[in-house]
Amino acid sequence: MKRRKFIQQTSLLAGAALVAPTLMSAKNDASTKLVILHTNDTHSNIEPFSSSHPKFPNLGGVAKRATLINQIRSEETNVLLLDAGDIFQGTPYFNKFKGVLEMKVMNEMNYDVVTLGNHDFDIGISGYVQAKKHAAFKVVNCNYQLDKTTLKELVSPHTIVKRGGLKIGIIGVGIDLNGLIANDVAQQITYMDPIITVQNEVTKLRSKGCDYIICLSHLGFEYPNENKVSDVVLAQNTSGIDLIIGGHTHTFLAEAVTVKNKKGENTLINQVGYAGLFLGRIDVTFQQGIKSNTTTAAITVQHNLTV
Amino acid sequence: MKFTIVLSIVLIGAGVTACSSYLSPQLTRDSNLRVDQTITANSKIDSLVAPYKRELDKEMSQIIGRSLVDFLVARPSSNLGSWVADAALQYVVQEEQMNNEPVICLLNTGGIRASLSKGSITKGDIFKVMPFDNRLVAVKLPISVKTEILAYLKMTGGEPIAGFTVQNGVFVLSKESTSNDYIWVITTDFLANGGDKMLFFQNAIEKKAVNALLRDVLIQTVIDQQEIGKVNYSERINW
Repeated sequence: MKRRKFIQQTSLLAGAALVAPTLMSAKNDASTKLVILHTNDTHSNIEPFSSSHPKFPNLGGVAKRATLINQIRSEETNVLLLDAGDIFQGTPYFNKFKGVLEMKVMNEMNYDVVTLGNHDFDIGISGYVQAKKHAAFKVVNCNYQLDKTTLKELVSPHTIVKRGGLKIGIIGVGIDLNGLIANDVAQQITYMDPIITVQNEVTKLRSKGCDYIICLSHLGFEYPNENKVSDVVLAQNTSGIDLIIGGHTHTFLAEAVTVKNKKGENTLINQVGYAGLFLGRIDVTFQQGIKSNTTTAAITVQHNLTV
Repeated sequence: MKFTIVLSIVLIGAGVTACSSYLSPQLTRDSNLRVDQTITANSKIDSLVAPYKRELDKEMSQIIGRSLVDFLVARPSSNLGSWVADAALQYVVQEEQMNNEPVICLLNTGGIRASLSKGSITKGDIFKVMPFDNRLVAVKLPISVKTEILAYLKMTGGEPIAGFTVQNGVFVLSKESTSNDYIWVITTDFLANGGDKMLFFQNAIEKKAVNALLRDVLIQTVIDQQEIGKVNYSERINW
């Protein structure tokens, strides 16, 4: 196992036992490791927060995020870099340059796939399309009917990314835009049920032989007192999603949350607050195994955080 | 900063029954990384950002108008609160052609984050007053909302308002109403969606999203008026 120097440098996980020894020794030649890095709700935060910020002084900044990503890329073979939407809106950079700089820096960091957040419509559909010309990454969403818009060619319900022999299916899902964005923009987009549409995409991706399925979601982590589809609700009411990378609610999770899906299997949900203050990291190791009709493994993660 | 994580991963073997070879994914690490100041900035990204930053800094220091007085925010009402609410009301009435509609404006004191000092006003100053990306919304509400707004203002001690005053605890519209059934309230998307517990917005008969950030409206208002503070803002709320 490679040494993770950057962790020691950032003193983030000093002295942490990352993986139980039993699993480490179980590692063999047939295993493939996938490192999933992700952001959400970066909201045009190009520069780090100011030193006088009441909650998060000096955190964030695209140039520092890029260093962290490059460090991980130099240590790991199979890296995915994803974003769960709301790239736009939040600093004068957006108002002034209409999302162009956000797209350029994300392109420079080599993002693979992103989804659409409600604020990504803040300069209209044409504004997003214009800015997106500066970035090569894919945009996924399966529950916005975009036929009547110029986003039609830009956005696909899912995409498949290959890494180290693995086929990773990535689906995008978004929040109901009515009331959240300008009416004239919202009217061009028909909203479809997130649970039904995501499940359809999962079925397609599984039939195409995907080894792992990630859903990039801008639904929001959880709405305890509302009858509203959140990432938790989506996870509970679908099957076949391995990981949901969420956004919208600016939820800071110290690590991913495990939810039982419709079939009683585990679906992971992760979200990293907002403004690019954190970079989400999930490592998944794939081992050659024997297919079983029942769950072959249950994973218990205990954590003890002192900040 | 001390930060320890203990992870233990327990694998429970299950009845292996069949059949084809497949890749089973196991979570082997899961922790979100802090992008903190100890990390060195990537020079390529820094140089990509630099020209944009220069241009932006230049624009933020651009003088867009002058203030003749110190504009402060306070409860029950204040000159800054009243100026902001007037600007929002005027913009939406004009933009949505609501001249013949009963219309008022209600914002939140907490949403105004800085004062404006007497003298020149830069674009950056307005960004400090209104750092949030709040969009304006027109909400059509049953006339009974007047009672609820009064109760709310009494409870909080006052918010920025325009188009009406509270005189000796009575709701007084600034111009004669054209309806006894409803009233339009101009506010921000944050408040219209339940922010600051203005729950009466949940009774909306109709909502019109106005495609404008309140901050942009304020910047345009300074540019249009050039000198602000000529008007004396009297107290708008008294009980």
